[in-house]
Order: sequence, then structure tokens, then C-alpha cells
Amino acid sequence: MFADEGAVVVASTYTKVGGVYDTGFRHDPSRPLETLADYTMGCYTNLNLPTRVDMLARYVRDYRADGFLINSVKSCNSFSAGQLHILREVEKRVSRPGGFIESDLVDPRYFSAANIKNRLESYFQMIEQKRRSGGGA
Amino acid sequence: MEESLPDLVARAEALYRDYTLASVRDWKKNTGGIAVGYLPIYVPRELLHAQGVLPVGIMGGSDDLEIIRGDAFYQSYICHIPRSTIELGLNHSLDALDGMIFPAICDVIRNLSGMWKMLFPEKLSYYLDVPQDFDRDVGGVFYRGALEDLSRLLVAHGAQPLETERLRESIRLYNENRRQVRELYALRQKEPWRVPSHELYVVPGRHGGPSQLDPLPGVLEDVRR
Amino acid sequence: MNYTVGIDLGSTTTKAVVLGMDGTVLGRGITNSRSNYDVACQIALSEAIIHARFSLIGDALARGGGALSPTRRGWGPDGAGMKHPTRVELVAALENALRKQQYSSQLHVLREELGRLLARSSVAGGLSESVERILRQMSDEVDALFAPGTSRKSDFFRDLAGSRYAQLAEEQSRVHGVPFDALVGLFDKAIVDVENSTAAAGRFEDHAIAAVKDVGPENDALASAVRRVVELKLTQVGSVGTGYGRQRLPFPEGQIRSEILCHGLGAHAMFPGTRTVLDIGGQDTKAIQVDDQGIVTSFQMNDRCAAGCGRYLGYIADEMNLGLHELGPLASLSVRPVRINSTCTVFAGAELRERLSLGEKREDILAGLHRAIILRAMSLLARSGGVQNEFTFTGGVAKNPAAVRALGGLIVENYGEVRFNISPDSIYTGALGAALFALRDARRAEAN
Repeated sequence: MFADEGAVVVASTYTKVGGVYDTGFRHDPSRPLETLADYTMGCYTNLNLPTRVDMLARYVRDYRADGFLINSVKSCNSFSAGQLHILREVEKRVSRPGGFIESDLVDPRYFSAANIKNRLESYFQMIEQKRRSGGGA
Repeated sequence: MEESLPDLVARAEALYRDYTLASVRDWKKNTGGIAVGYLPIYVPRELLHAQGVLPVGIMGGSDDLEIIRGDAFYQSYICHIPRSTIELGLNHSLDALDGMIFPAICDVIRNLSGMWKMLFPEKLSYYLDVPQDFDRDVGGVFYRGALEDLSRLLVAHGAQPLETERLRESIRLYNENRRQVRELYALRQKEPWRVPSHELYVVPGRHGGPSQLDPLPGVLEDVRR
Repeated sequence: MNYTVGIDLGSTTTKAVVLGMDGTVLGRGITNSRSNYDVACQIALSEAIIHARFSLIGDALARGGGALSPTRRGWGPDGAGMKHPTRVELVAALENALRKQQYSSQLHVLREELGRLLARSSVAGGLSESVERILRQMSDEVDALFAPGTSRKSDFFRDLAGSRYAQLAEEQSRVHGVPFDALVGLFDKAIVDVENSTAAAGRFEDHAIAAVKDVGPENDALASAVRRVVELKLTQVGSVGTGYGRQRLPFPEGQIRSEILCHGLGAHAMFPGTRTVLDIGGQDTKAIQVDDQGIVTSFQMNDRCAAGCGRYLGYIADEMNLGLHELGPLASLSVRPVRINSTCTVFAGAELRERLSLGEKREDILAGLHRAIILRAMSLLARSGGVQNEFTFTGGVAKNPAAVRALGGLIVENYGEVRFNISPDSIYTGALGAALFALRDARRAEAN
């Protein structure tokens, strides 16, 4: 769906669910298991929401994204609960529009391709319109 | 203070339904202490009590609360409790509280603690994680640390410092309260018609309202009669 | 004359708006969405063109000779909409006559279809006779139905003819013992073919000429105006499709726009000061924030569940045996609204019956239902970023006075006083936005 609209994903927090390297964390080869545990404890879902907002805002700026998309996954409340709040906070910080879809990773009944395509299309067209009317923000 | 049972039940009901927490405001005015809301159930009320804090149980809004702004924070599949809690926060019902404690009861409430921080930055917001390992040297150490953190945070927001003797006394009081509640339930088992559900739900100073240690002995007396 | 068109293929109705190259609204058309999307589009478009032609006739008559060109008109808040300030009653009568021609033509096709169905199946003898009686009665009534000064319950053939047919079928069933279900079943099958046949609506030229004869055969000015307009070549130079069924539209990829954008732009065209738009349609609800250029800055749509949308009101209307347009006025009579906790469309009927059996008054239940629907809309608005001044309410449900009142109250309660915009033409918002996009594209193409 992204490719159809010519959109490219430049960064993601989904890859942070295992742990986070951004803040400079590195494993210590002399204490592999201990630092592996440390790494896991610092994962995205163990960060409080204000910290997550900071991280997302940083990514949008660092990777110069035109917008950010939130995929609310029903199966993982730890990740998802409160994403609407995060959406608004990040929007406020980076002045870029956020898109929002709901789906699931496990339960196919909760994935409606038509619904998602509709929202994504509208979102991408919205960004396109903004750029055309001059001003990426 | 002799209060008849029906009056007591009515008062408990009124407290339960009072979303604007008028009684909490009164308590604060009379005692000068701070009040901290909490979601049941792992929160150590004894600790709060010992530091002169009024623990106020919040269980969300019931069916007579219309959610207008709360829905803006949660996607469709999240249950009613966090939505209504945020609604109460946003419509100023919880203004009398100096903060909130969110225990590890579910992932949504866990995240709610972060949302509370962003929404009400000047208020206390504490996520109380509980140990998964019950070994004293592992989970025990963890839990003690968490409680000490909470205690320090409470002081930073105006509570009295923690003193061992006062903590002991608070524990004793709450244990007595728990014993009385158990007695009430035992009575209900034996003679259910004397302890109907809707009264049982609101009376024993439960989590639905400010902690009320006093009226319970009176209730037992009346019911036994 | 060149024009662009925007087509909004909705779940309940399909709308088309036709714009002149200077942005004037020439005409608009609406029809039932139906199983064949291509036909729905064509019919909506042809309705819009018919409407455009009538407007031009009105202009021609008013100007009395000279080049045909439309007078600029807007969608102003006074609801002036498409009405030409000097529209003559003659044109209204003409339009009425044309509608009569159309209806007759569709009735004729219905007769043919029913005949085909009856001939194919081996049915009890009485059925054919009953159908014939019904059709004859309906034919006889056409003149009275479209008599000057009359207004009809609906503009759609399916609704108009369908309800009359059902009434007559009941009579036939009672008097002649012919099974009601069988009669109505025939209509249900036949109507699909009638709707999907573009021939049924006939050609404007034929109808227009017949209509002139009907209205004022001695009126030279009218006849000449009609003839000139009929002869006017209208050329489509751009088109954009949107709406629920837009993937099925016979438009190339580049000419399809999401309904969010079209709605935002359309609302902006109607009310340039608008910043928040709420659209409650047949089966979805959209909350849109736009900037001062009509560009969407944020939006939210309802998720899988269609509770709180127009369809829900449709079910309720059916259950209560009321017309959709009667729900609002009845709800407004309530003095003690009932609190309804869920708006599950699937259980609408059951919940309604339960409430009625508990002795609740109809108007109280309806008032409660309207409030419940609006609460869901409020929730969506909150998610999309709240309500900024000015606020525009569009979509079919915006025509419902009880819904409008409930919404107005809740908005003031939660967001303070904001300017509340509703246009009687709000159902065309999406199509208007689409047409404007088409216009922009056409102008850009011209410039290159």
C-alpha cells in the first residue's frame, strides 16, 4: 500500500521492542548475558510514554520524515494503549501530520484491508496536498 | 457518632457516586493533608495513611458518565475504565487529588501513568510495579525499593515523612478493617438477606471512595442486631 | 460549454456536481447507489446535467435571448444554493413535467420487466392479473402525482413507485387473495433491472420537448429557450471520482481522490471560514480538520463498527414504520429522553422493541438514540483534534433536526460557542470537492 502511493518508511519504533541502542547502549562482551538482560529491560515497551514521545519526535526530525504513521495493534496493549495521545503529542512537537490505523498482528479478523487502504490513501493524499500548497509542515 | 444503618448505607452510596470528590476537599480543608487517588488493587494504602495521605480509590466512571474527551486518548478496543478515568481527570472531577498511583494491574493502566504525566505534569503520577519473583532477596528487594520511591515522591508532594511506628499503626488499622470486612462477608454467607449486594458494595470503605475506617464497626453492630 | 464533474459514490446515494470552467456550480444530481456502480455514476451525472440544463433554461428565460451562460451563484449560508434568484415558476413547472415524463418512462420499463418475469416463471394465474391491475392504477395516478404544486415523499423511482406498489399489492392480496409476498417479490426483482437500465430514465431531449408541450405549448420564449439549451453542447473536460465505491468508478487512477480530501475541500467551498468538518454518512463518520485553504490537516474515521451512522437511523425508521425524514421531528417532541447505552445497528430492532415494551414513549426513545449517535460523533471529533471555529456539519444525518440540536448542545458544552454551519445541500459536499479538484487539474492541464 505504501509503494502504491510512493511512500517510503524511513524509521520505525517497532524494531525497538527488543531493545534500544539509540541512547548509546552497547553490549559488554565480557558480560554478555548481563548486558543482554540490560538491553531487554530498556526496550520500547518498558519506556514510559513521555520518553516514547521524545523518541518518536527525535526520529521524525533526524530522518526528516514528512509524517509519521501509527499502527495500533490490538494484541499488544503495552505498545498500543494511549497511542492516540502519543499521536497528538508528537504532532505538536514536530508539526508534521500523523496517520492512524488499527489492525492486528495475530488475529486476521481484525485486519480490514479496505479500511486501512482507505485511511492510508487519505493520509498520503493529505500529505501530498500540503506539500503542493507549499510548505511541508 | 451513632448512625443508623440505612443512613450509613445512604451516606456510603452518596460518597460512591460523588465524582467531584467533595468529601475529599472537606477532608483536606480539615486536616491540611494531601489526597492521592489510586486504582485498585496493589496499592499500599497503609503507607499512604501512615504519611498522612488520604488514599482515594478511583474505579472509573459508571454508566452515568458520558465520555466526550476520554475517547480522544484511546483507540476503540480499550475498555471503559481508563477512558472514564481520563474523562474524570479532564472534566476536573479529580482536581481535589494531588496525584494518582497506577499499580501494575494491566498494560493499559501502566501506560495511563505516562499519559497522566503528560496531561497533569504538576501532579504526582507514580507507576507502582510489583515483583514477579517472590524470593525475599529478589522480589522483596525490588518491592522495598519501589515502596521507598513512592514514599519519597509523596513527601516531595507534601506528605509527611514515613515513620516506622506510624506505619505499624496504619497496618494494624487496615488489618482490623480487613478483618471486619471478612466478618461482614461471613455474615453474608450465613444470612445473605441481611447483607444485600448493593449495600455490601458501597459500605465497607472500599476502593470506590475515600478510605473510611471508622463506620465499619458500627455497621457490624447494626447488622448483628 | 465546458464543464468538470465530481462524482461521489456513497454507500446510500451517489452524487454528482457539475462546474463551469470559472467555478460556477452548473448543476447537481443525486440517485440511489445500487448494485451497478457504473450505472449509478451515469445516472447521477445525467441528473446533474439535466439540472444544469434547467438552470440554463432559467437563465435564458430571465435574460431573454443572448448567449447562454450561467449566472454566478454560490453555496452561501442562506441556503441559496442552486436556486437562481430570478427563477421563474415556469421552469419549475417544466422540471416537474420532465420528472413526470421520466417517471412514466420508468413505469413503462417496469411493466416490461414485470411482464418478462411473469412470462418466464409458471405462476398462478391470479398473479398476472393483479400485477396488471396495480400497474394500470399507477399509470392512472401519474398525472395527479406530478400535478403542479404537489410534492412527493421521495425523488427516487424506487421509493416512490415501490411504496405505492406495496400499498396496491396489499389491497390486491386482501381483495383477491393473491399472495402479498409474491407480488412484492416480483417488484423487488424487476426494480433492479429498471434502475440499472439507463434507457429507463429516457433522454433529456425527448422528455424536455414533451414537457414543454405539457406546460406551455403556446409559450414561444419557453420553447425557444428549451430548444437552445437542448442543443447546447456540454463537453466534459475533467472528472474526479470519490466515495466509498470509488475503486469501481470508471475513472483512471489519477482521477480518484479520497473522500476525506473531497469533503474537506467541498466544505471549504461552501463555508470558507470552516476549520472542522463532521460528516455523518450512511455507513461511516468522518471528522476532518482543514486549514484556511481547504487542505486537510488531520482526520479520523470510525473504525469497523458502523454504529452511530445514518444506516442505524434507517433501521430504526424501518422498525418504527416511519420515513427517515420523520425521525427527527418526532424526536424533537421528547421531554424526557431515554438514556440509550449502545447504538449497535444489529440489535437496533431488539433494543427498540424492548424499550417500547417497557412503556417508553417513541419520541423519548428516539431522542435518546439521537443523542447516543451524536456522542459517538463527539468522540471521533475529539480524536481528530477537537472542534475549531467554524464548525460544519455535513452528510445525510445533517438534515435531521434532532441530531443537529443534540450536536449543537454538546459542542457548546464542550468547546464553547462556535459558528455552526449547515447547508441544505450538504449531501453534495464530497461531490463538490471532487469537482473542484477536477477543475484544478483541468486548469493545470490547460496551462501546460
